[in-house]
Amino acid sequence: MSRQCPKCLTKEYNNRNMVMMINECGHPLCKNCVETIFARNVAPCHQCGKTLKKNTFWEQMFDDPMIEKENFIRKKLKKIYNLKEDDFPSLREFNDYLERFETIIFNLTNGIDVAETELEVKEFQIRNAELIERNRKRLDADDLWIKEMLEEESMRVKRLQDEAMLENTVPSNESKAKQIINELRQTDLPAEVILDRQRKLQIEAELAEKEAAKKKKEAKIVQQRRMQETASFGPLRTAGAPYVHRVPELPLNGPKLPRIEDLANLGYLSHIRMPSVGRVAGGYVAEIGCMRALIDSRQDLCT
Amino acid sequence: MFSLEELQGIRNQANQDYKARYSDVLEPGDEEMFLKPEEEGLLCKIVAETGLRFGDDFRPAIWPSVRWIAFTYFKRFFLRHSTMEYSPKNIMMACYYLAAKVDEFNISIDEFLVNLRSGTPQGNAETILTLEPELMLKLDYHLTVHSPFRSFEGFLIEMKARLQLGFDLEQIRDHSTRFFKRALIGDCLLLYSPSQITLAAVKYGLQQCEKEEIMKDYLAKIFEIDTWKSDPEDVKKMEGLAQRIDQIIEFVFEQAKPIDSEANGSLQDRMREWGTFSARIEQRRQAASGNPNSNELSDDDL
Repeated sequence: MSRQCPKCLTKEYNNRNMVMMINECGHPLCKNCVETIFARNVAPCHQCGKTLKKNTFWEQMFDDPMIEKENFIRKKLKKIYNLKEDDFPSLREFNDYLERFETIIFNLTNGIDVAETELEVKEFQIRNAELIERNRKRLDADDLWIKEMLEEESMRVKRLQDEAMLENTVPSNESKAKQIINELRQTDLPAEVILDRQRKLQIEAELAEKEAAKKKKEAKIVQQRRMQETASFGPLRTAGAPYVHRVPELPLNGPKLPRIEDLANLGYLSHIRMPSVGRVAGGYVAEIGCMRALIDSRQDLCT
Repeated sequence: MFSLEELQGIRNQANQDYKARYSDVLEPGDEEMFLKPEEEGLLCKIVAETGLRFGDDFRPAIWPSVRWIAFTYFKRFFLRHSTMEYSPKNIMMACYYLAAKVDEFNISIDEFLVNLRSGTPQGNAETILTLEPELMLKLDYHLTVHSPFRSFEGFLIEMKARLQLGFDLEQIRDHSTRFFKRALIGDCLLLYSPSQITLAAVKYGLQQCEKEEIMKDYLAKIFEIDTWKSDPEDVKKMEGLAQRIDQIIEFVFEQAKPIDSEANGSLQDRMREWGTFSARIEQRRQAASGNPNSNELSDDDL
């Protein structure tokens, strides 16, 4: 990774933040130089003189500029040469086509017969215009498989969710039927009234379900958005019971202690050594020492 | 908390266990040679007195809390182990060293060894350093010991603050220090909580200064008992406490009775006998366990 800008000669060693940019002609430039030279958006390439535009530069990923150049050409031509296997009468012809594609790319990358190759590409484009247009939308066999897998996955998740919901609602269905039968038997109301009522209840329940499902979806979307916005720095803990502070008890087993606030007024502190300024600065007050002595004297006195 | 009989029972048990270990190599009549629990107790007491003197003579002067901690370790150790197995003197040295470390009294092993008068510095160093982890292990790693000295300060502060004293309370300090020293010889640190021992020391000090009634006032004050409104629970507690501290004072002085020289002399003889005897049965033990090994070797050679 020892790239060097050919123009300003800074190496990665000198400027750790140096970003190499490269263009279609395959000659790299560091980002600062791009800004400088292409201040007017159009300028000749410093190595080959070809007219370039500032916005056609991209960040160089590979050390070898030829790779970048080839990738660029390949991507461009793939949009034109997008025929699939079943566009050809035989496998042999498909393979020939593929080989021709590679040869074209090789020629263009290495600057062999550039003009002729370009002409060939143009002719191909004109000749197979409809096929190209049609294949733009089609998916490859591989893509199809991926899509199938994804769909299956989502189906599975949905199925599990439905089952979970079903478990919750199955008993209620049975009990509802029983309820209806009981009512029909016991009360004197005409059957239609009862059934109407049940139907109304059912419709309301369904509406409520739909609303609940919608709310869940919205909540999920909101949560997703929030997750994207916030960065989580650790595992999210589930909330438990809220913390209630209980003052810790001192099991003294002896007579009661005076409170720490009262120590000064009761005159204890006058009989203990005053701490030095350094100690007080560290947070030690005479009450602490006094309290400690008192606790020790009271502890376990009544066992 | 134990009672004195229970303590003695535990010590007897330790004695028995040690004897049982050698049961396979004992010959008739050897039973007599083992130290009896009373002799062990006497030995511990002698070593304790020596230990006290050691603490007094130690240069640089160690804190009394270090001494208290060392003695606590010593007593706890020999509660469960027999003096026949570990030499009390070595254990006492190791206890002092460990106590200095635990109480953060900074002293290096070399400075420590200067104070030891018997044995070579090298040998002593080795003994102490090897015994130290073993001592910790046998103490179950309970290395925190509550010494009574902070409680003592607490009591003094409180008395000065709360009571209308007619006299300088500091006078009792010397007497109480003597009391603590006496207390170290006996078992009271195994039987009573440190705050109670301290209160007993305060009372003793007051007794020596003939101001004993202050103790009663003090107890009433801290239990918040007035003559006209008193909670019977608290009164009971207070009286129980007063009884307890009298008990402790009695106990300490009983345990601290000096050993008469006759018993001392006979014990010395017994120790010598025991020394030779233990070497003998150790040899026997080695031979007994060593023989099968040697047989195996010769078998292998075949």
